Amino acid sequence: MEILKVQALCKTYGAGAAEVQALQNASFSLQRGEFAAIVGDSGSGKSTLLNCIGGLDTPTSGKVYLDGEDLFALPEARRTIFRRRNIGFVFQSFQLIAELNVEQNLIFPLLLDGRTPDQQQVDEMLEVLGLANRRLHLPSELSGGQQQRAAIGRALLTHPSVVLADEPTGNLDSRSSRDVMDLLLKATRHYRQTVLMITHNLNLTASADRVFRVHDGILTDFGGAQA
Amino acid sequence: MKSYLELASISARVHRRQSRMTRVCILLAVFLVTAIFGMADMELQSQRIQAIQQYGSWHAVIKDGISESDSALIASRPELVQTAWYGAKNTNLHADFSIGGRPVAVCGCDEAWLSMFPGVRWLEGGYPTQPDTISLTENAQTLLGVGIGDTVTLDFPNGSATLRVTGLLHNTAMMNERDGVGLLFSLSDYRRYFSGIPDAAPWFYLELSPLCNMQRTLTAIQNQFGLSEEQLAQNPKLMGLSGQSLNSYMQKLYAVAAVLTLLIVTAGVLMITSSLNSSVAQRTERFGLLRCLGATNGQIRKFVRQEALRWCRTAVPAGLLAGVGVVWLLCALLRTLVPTYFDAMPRFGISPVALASGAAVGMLTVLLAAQAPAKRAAAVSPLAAVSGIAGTVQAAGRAANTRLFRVDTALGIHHATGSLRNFALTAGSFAFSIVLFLSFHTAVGFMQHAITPLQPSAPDFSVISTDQDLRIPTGMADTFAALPAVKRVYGRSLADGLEGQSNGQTIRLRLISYEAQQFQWARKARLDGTLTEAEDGKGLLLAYSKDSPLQTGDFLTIGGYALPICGRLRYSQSSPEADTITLFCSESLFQRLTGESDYAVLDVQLTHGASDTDVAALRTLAGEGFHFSDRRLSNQEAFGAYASFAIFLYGFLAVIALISIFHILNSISMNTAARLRQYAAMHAVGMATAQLTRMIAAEALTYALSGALLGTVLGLPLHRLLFSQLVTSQWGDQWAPPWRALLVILLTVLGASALAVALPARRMQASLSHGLHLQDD
Repeated sequence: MEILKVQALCKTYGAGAAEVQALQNASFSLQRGEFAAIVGDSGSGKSTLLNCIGGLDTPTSGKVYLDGEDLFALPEARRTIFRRRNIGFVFQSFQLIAELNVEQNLIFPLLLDGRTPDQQQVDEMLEVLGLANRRLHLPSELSGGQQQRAAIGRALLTHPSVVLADEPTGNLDSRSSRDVMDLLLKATRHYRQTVLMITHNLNLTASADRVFRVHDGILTDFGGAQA
Repeated sequence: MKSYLELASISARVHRRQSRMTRVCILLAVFLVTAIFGMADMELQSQRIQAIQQYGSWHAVIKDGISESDSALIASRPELVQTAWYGAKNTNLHADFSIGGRPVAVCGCDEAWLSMFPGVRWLEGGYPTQPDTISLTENAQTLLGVGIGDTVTLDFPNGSATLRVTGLLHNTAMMNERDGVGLLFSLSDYRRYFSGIPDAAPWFYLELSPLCNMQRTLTAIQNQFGLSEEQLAQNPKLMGLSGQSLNSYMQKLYAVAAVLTLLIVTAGVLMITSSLNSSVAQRTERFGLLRCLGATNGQIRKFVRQEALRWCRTAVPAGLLAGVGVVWLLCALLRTLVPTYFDAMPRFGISPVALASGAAVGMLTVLLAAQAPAKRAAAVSPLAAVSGIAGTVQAAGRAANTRLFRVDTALGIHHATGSLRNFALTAGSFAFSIVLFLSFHTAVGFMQHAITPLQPSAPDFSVISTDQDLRIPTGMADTFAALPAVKRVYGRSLADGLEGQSNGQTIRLRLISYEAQQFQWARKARLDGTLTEAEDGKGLLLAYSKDSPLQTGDFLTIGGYALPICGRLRYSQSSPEADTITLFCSESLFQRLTGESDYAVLDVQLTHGASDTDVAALRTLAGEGFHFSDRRLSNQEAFGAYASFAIFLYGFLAVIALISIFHILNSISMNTAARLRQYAAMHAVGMATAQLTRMIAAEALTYALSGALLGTVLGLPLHRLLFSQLVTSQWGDQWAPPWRALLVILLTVLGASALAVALPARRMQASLSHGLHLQDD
């Protein structure tokens, strides 16, 4: 079942001589439960693509359909609500709220949505993340891997259709990177969530169902995982 | 955690310093409004107390031509709190009304009138209810030798009456000063004895409800009973203090008060807005993250408002408490300085107006001021968090000018001016302190004219010779000076009817002698010239008169002596005749010119706590034949009025200056805190702490100088406008730039800015040691 459809997405910065085409006619679609990776050099346009898909940035032209909904046809306020219910974000620098503990960070998007967190689900998620004994710790009291696991937990707890991860292992050592990848895979395999991940590490694309490459703003679909 | 809004409280706990600085800012704004409004309210109360003590609580009086039936109709109006009858004769103490040959002032009133005049109090006995009974002022005991139970005979133009004394009243300031006795009849006796005497008819006094429209009520009464403008007079001071005067000058005062009120409220709003703006600007990344996690614009706005309200929870009550504390302190000072008058003032008075306005300004301003930053916060792009392009400071629109200045100075100036909004709010709030100070300073000019201070030369007691043949021997001064209750004695000789020649013109003169102490006081009244020659007996001083034919430097020949006019004094001495010039000279010169050495007036200043017995002793020592003037009460009244106004006015100015200092310290501290991470980065690439301090100093100085310039440019014209309304329109004084006040507030702003650099610089040095990953604590 197609969950994400990107159609002729373009993003241009600046004008005239200073014009930069960060993204040119990117099109692809992803099925529910699919794990896709985007690779590319620095400045190739992969983060721009991810930000546009996530509704954090506005494309110059093109469409993004999420579960059949045209993301940019929605007014700003509704898009935000749609985004928080259907898209989970994982960032390279974790972006946890420094003054909230692990559990509070996890439930924060639910609170923004006016929902009461299901304590059983929270406990389960903490178990899955391996952070049950760290639930009351502040981010500053966690290792990088633990912080990223908490950030993934935050992205998954709202049960989004799509999880967008921008270099989720970029700041982590190899063991922590493996843990994070296991979690993202678990999201796709167990919870049938779609994951779109940006990475520099070609080794990590081995686990991906599909791999895309972005070069000078042009997206190429490599199909199955690269060797 | 039940709601995302709880992040506000958690965040406030973690970012204590930042949250404390914002709270301090709200506290200061609330304190400013509460203290100023509280002081203004207490000052109004104190002026009201004094006005009622001195002039009574009536608002209007119908002088004559009103029948008792009409008066009953008026009294039945719902706007009237009470009405009373009062009549008086011989208040100027002529010989027409006398007891044993001594002039007395007579009056008659009903008991309601006494409740309108709390200043009229019984020492003994009470209101004369029985026919032919009276009350006398207490000085009757010494001046007439009568007391309770004695019988006196009052002689008046229509005859005489034998009256029994049943009460003694405390002396009034006027009676003491004129050395006269006051006599009080019941209204019926007063009418019975004096109904045939012209201008003796009692007047009808009206006290109106403070809640009614007094002018409308009085116009209705005037129309209903056909009263002329002259018949219906108003109590201008009380009407003015009740905000009900139609007097054009009072209207100007109200307008000035409204402008000052607006300025105070604006100052509070500006302080809070700049603080919230700075607080939000520091957290762009945070709001970006919240947006990333799915917070809507509305939720961000709600979050910022929630934060603001949380700050209010502690800052507003603290500001109110601090404001009330200052008001209590000033009230206590007033009660200590002038206990007689301000005993009625509550020791721990609460001004509902001040509390309500302080709380409203705090809460409403915070909510309103939070709108703009909340809007800005809500507009933060989610990308701000993920891209890392939004740090804690706003992105620069242009590069710092390192050609004109050293790099550290250039960066400091650039930090101040980089964000136009931040620069305008910070420099604007500094400027506003100056504008506020200068605006309130106009009231000093008003005070100096409207409320005459008690001059250092004011005597408590005077012996006055009214007879050319009976002067006061100079030896009496020595006798008085020997008394322990006497602090200072100084006499003046006086010669009228002298003639002098100058430039071929004959001039009529009044010559007054001064001793050393009076010359000393006269220095403050010097218009031009010098006093030394006059003090040495070699010259004369001229009392200023715009029609005077003499000027400083002229020579005047009196009795063969050619004497120079060595200076002019600002005294407008009343001369017996219009074309008479008043001159002052030393005692030795006076004796040389007139052959006289005895005094016409001997003034006495008493020590603190001198009693009536001491004054009675002075009278006895002076002996018979002189006129006495006891001004202790009127001096106290003058001092009370001036002290209350001065205490509150200088209280205003001190509070404004203090708030300016705290606000500047806080603003610069907040700006520095916002850039700590940036400073750490600069430190890491080699910027020395001295250079960092210089950079902060340049930033602070840019705000301070711009604020000082803007404040001066805006403050002086506003000072001029308010001065023309308050002073020029009433007393004609031309406006002059208030250089001294300007200097005081400019030095305050610059000094506070210098101090503001020292404090964050010290904190920064400690913080830099934590390296680049600084987080605000």
